[in-house]
Amino acid sequence: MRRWIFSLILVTMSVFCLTAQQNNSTLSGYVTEQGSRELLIGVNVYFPEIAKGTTTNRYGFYSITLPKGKYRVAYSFVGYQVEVRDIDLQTNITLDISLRSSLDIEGVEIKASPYERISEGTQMSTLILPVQQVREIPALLGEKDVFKTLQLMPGVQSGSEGSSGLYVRGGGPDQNLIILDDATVYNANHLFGFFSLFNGDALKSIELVKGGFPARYGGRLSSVVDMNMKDGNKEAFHGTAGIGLISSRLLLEGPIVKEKSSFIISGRRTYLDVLSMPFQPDGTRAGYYFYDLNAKVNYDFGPRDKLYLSGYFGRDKFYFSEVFFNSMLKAGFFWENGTGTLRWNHLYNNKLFSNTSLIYSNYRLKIYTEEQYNNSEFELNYQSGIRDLSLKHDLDYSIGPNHLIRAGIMVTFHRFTPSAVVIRDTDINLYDRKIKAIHTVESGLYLEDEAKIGDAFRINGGLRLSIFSHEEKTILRPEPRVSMAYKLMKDLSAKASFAIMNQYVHLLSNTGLGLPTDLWVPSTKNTGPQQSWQVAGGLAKDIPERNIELSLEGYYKKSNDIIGYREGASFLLIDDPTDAEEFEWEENLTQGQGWSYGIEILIQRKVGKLSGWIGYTLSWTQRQFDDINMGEKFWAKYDRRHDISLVAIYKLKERITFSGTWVYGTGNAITLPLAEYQAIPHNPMPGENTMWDYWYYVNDYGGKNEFRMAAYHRLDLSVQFHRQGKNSRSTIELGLYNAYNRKNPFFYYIGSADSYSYQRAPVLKQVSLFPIIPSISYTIDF
Amino acid sequence: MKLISAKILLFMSFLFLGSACEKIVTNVDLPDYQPKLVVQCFISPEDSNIIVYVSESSPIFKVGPVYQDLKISDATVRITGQGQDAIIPYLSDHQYYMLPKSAFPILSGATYTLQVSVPDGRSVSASTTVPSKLNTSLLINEINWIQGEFSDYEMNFRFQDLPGAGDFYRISAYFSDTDTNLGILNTYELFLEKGERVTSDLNKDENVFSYRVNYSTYSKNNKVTLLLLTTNEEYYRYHKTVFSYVGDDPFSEPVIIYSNIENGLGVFCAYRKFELDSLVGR
Repeated sequence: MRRWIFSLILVTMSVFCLTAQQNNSTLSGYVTEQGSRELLIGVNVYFPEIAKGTTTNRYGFYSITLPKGKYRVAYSFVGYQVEVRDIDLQTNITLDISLRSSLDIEGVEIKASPYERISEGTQMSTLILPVQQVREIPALLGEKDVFKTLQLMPGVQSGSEGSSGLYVRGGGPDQNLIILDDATVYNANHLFGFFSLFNGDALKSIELVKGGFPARYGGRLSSVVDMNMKDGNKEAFHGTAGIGLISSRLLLEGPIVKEKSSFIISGRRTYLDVLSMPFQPDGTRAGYYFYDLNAKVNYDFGPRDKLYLSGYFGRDKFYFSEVFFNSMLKAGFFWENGTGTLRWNHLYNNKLFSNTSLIYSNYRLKIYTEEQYNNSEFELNYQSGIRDLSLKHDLDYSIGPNHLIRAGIMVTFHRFTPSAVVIRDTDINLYDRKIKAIHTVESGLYLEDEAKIGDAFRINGGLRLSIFSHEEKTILRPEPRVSMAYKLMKDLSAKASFAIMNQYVHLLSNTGLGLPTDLWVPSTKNTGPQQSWQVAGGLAKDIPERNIELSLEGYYKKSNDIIGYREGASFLLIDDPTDAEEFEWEENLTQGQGWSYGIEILIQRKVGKLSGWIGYTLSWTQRQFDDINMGEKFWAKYDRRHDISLVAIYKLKERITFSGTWVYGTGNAITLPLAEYQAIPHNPMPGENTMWDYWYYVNDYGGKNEFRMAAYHRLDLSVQFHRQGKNSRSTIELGLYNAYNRKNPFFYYIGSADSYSYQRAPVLKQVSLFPIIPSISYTIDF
Repeated sequence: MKLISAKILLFMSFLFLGSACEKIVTNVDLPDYQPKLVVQCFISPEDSNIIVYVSESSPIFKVGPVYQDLKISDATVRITGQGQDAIIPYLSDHQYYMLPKSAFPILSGATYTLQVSVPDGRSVSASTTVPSKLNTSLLINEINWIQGEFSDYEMNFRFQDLPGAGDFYRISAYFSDTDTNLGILNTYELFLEKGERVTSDLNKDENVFSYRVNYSTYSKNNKVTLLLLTTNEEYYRYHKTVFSYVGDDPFSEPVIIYSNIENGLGVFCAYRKFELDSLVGR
């Protein structure tokens, strides 16, 4: 099978090569940032006279083949000054360009480049989040958060209050493929999901794909969050330090060998545990912390080869220990993510670019308890996790002015350990290890052609073959992908896309809150892969004189074999880890269908004195499982009819930036008890006739998720004061989360109005999480 | 060995942030609810009586006494099937409706319909089919004295699923405390140390299901009774939800109790019964 697929790719490529005319030449090169030589991703390379162009790939490389001739070419990118060059393309030309950041140019009002327009691209349902905006938007406790900024985009919703989970077009957080430098991140949560792993400091680019997925991505149903780390400044040492209410952070970058090699290292740690230390009694230690560490080094071997080594490591830990006379108790739990990526960029020639990555990713949760009393010792360790080792090879081939071919393969070896328990007890001479590991292989093979047909029509068509093997069973599923754009008039395009996605890993979540106890498990012979198809259509409009982009999209997504939990199912192994061996998660799963459809509107201004966006989503999300809600369709918990977000960043003066966000969302769909009644289980013992004794009160919930919580809305404000020093720039930020102190419901419960009464007087009560919360933070870039 | 549960973790995080607050909800409309009839009836060819429990549900947001009696005594309860038709009378001593087997036999493989109506005009109905299969493969593997305990034992037992998909089971174990002169003093159900009370053979056709119970015994006539019920799907789904019912817990998905009663709540279902007695005296 695999040989057949390779042959297909080769034949396709040969056909394109033959059709490429001989009287063409290629312009190629890298685009970097002036002053740091940081490679820039997604830079527009545009030929205005012939209305053709390309963009730099995720490694900063571009290549375009055109008929021989004289051209004017413009390089443009948000937040950078446009570079325009005149070239005489008689032979192949290599042209490396460096762009100057607009931040370095004082007193100039930034204007959007005239060449960089959403109406020009094929891709739809894709959001590129400028990292700078993450830094400017107000955040809970001043902790900047990439995922919470993404939640402000249409089609992306937050779950419950404060949670950083992403619900994209009706899909759950388990259906998002989160990749950092090619490595999959399995649990992107700190502190039970109140913060995500990514604060943006070390990131160069953030892209979210909600639909119309290019064939190079696969493995999840609903979205791809593709993040790339900065490479590190190749010319001079720089750093950023920040101090906030709950954490401090530091970033250092600089050359190792000037202009050849550089490094970047960035860390963040909370310090509540350190501050509370002096107030804890003698012999007792308890606390919580989390930290993140990003690091990357690279080496430039010349125009043909570049090597990158990058990694992320982060951990959340709760711990408790007590020493008391002759006894000692230690207990706690932690969860940690680690990723590592070794990438090699190789340029075969100026048309063919390749990247080879070796990727490692590991997530684990560990719960431990250790007791000592006199000479006896008891120890229990419970672990669950997933470990991946992947190999990936991608090719970008620029055939002519109208074709860019991408092809590649990725193979991932998964090792799942849903539960591993080690118990040691010296009293009864016990030492027991129960480790259950599952090994699977997931592969993807893709071919994409980004083509321009005529002056107005662009298409990105592709096919991905996803292959999954577990024990003797192999599943092969083709995933056709296509997105198209047709230019209706200047600055206005109509777009459409279709994509099929498969997901071979499932997240078992007890609460949907993103707790570390959530478990990743593979598809098995009983629990097949999840699948979805999505169609989307829309309009993209630019209003260049006002720097405004406007997009309107409608989508319809159908998911099959999605995972649900049988009612009353529990995945909380940690309730009794010693029983873990007998834990059979498949019994608790059920598979069903999902429907999601809606309309999204985004009006965005990426640059200017006043920037930001208005996002609106009108959507419907439903589920159906044979084993849930008696087989009837029901609204998903996060089905949100209306979702509005307003984001504004206003640079009042060179030294003062105001920003504000306002969000509104229809309340979550929940199951509320309507009545109670007496449920009698059958008592099968003969002669036992007093069965009324066995009943107990249960609730009649009506249907599942038929009740709506009150709507959610919140205003956040912040003001940043900047100070430009000789070699540094410092920022003090004052923030206000939930500025008008809206008491948004986190959950509802049935309480009693009057606890002293002998009457039942039930009332509906709500618990809210975050009232108005001020924050202050300080950042210095040097 | 109960360790930390997720709720405690969450609570810790609330404490950590120290800002959760509570209030009575006034900005949403509470649902309007009309009480529904609740019917429970479990029939079997191996049972001597047909017993029907009838009660009604009570709206949550209703001010009233803390303990309420929701039983209904004036309903008309009618069972039909296999060409027979009978009204089941109310027994006020027991507060349920009962008909002896002799008046209305229940046959394996047959389908029956139950209709319940009350004077105010509400009426509900349900149908169920008695399983034609009966699993009799219940076996005791071994009985072991629990080391270090004076009179505590553990009993391991098992059964094998019948060939073919769509089989459902219930397992119950009872201990009968017996006095030589007075006979059985009392009978109580034993907790299953291993295994689930209700099981389905979904993905497990012809598998062996194993169980364990612990008990203490002093008298030589003491007895453990093991029951293996081969049930229909309605029986399984109702008990699966009733046994896993969690009540109001904001951190887990509520269990919606299964019902096959049209326009009402509860269940009308059927089972077959196999019994295994074992004298466990010392």
